Order: sequence, then C-alpha cells, then structure tokens
Amino acid sequence: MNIQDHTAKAARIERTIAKLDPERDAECIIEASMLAATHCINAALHRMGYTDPTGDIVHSHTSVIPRDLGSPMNVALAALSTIEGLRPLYVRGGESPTFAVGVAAIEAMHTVRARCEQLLDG
Amino acid sequence: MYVAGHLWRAERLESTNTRLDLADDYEMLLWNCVHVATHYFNAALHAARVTEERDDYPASEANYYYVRGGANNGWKVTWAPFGDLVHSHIPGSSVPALPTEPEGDLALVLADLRQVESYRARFVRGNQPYHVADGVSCLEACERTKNLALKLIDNAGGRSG
Repeated sequence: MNIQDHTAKAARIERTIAKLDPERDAECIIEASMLAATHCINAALHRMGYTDPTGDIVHSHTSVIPRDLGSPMNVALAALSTIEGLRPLYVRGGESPTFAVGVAAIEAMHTVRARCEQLLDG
Repeated sequence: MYVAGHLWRAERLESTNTRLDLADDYEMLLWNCVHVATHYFNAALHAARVTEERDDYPASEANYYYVRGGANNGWKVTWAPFGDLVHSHIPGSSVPALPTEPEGDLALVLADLRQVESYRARFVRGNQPYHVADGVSCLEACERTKNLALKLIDNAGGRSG
C-alpha cells in the first residue's frame, strides 16, 4: 500500500476508535490501535526508504527492517510493541480489561502517529 | 483457555460489533469477526477434545503461551503443547496451523473461519475496494461459525458440563 492509502486507512480506524468505550470495547480498541499504528509505521517506513508499497510490515517484530532506525521510528516501534503486548491477555486471552488498558492502547497509538508524522513531514 | 473464557470474549467482541457501522467502521467490524470466529472455533475444538483446554493464552509464536506465575506482571511466556489456535493458517509458512486438519462439522466451522479471515488482508491490512455486501458476507460467515460451534459445544456438554 502507498503512503497516502496507509495514512487514510489509519485515519479511518482512528475515527472508529473515537466511537468506542475504553473499557466496554477494550478488545476492539487494542486491535484498532495496533492496526492504525501499523499503517502509520508502514507509511513512514516507505517515506524513509526502508520498505516499499509491496513490502508492508505486519508486526513490530520483523526481520525486514534494520534494528536501529533512529529515534522517532524506534520510539514508534516500541509503542507498537506495547500495544501488541496487550493482545495475548486482553484479546486472545481471558483477562478482563480495565478502562486503563483501553486508554493505554490509544495513548501508545497516538505516540506512534506523532512520531510517524514527524518522519512524514520531515 | 477454557471454553467459557472463549465464549465470554467472543460475546464482548460481538457486542462491540453492534456499535459499528458496516460502511464507516468496516475495518474493525471485519477484524472483530476474525477474533469472534476464532474464539468459537477454539471453544469447539476444546469441546471435541481436539485441542487442550487450559489456563493459558497464546503468544504470537506457535506453541508459546502466556502462563501465570511470572515476575513480569504475574505472567511468563513458555512453550506448551498445542492449545489455542491463533490463525487457521500461517501465511508464508508450510507448517500447518493445527496439529491435525479437523473433519466433519469441525471442518465446516473451519471453512467459515477461513472465509472470515480472508477479508482481513484485502480490506484491513490492504486497500481493496470494499462494498457493504462484503461486510454482510463476513458477518454471515461469522454467525455460521458461532452457531455450528455452539451446537458442537452443547452436544459435548461444554456449556453445561
């Protein structure tokens, strides 16, 4: 997917998140935050030249990009990893999510978007 | 994970889907259906004794599970025999996602789960043109997964026993 499509997709998913409640809909918020964040990161990686539109990453733990990509992208990938870390317990698993869990996913996604916007605007 | 836990999580996700719009929110509606269908399929696999019902949750890597007792917030990741399925197939891998391919009614549930999963790459990770009819088809496949899985679970005494 190209940069514009990734950005548009992330924005659509963020609009869905805005309709949801961090506790009642925590599973969906975690997944949506992961997806929106991944779209932002793919857009930035394309802009940085590490990947092209045929080589989107799916998760933060990937071997297709170098380990150290500089501060904004490293922070973005760490924040994506934080969101991914919520999935085993609160989406695939049986732990009951709190309001704070949903908020943590949204905040990490905002971190990803801010860092990726830096890279896209720079 | 236990059958009851799968059903509880699936119902929460289904509840969220009732608040999403087939046109405006289709990405998350399709994505939620994947988790809903997977939870019902896992519950049916447990009820049929095809996979083990346990108090652990699958990590991203096959055969690794979050178990209680670790120093990090009370959880640790460890290897275990196959428990919960994460994906019905592993993209780009020749390794089967399940230890054995299910037969009979479980195979029908799996076929519907695979249909639900097929929307994910096209419309959520990817950007193929979406039509509301795609969302309706996905919801219908998810509902079939649920109904047949619940029938199998009930027949095995999984919800009452």
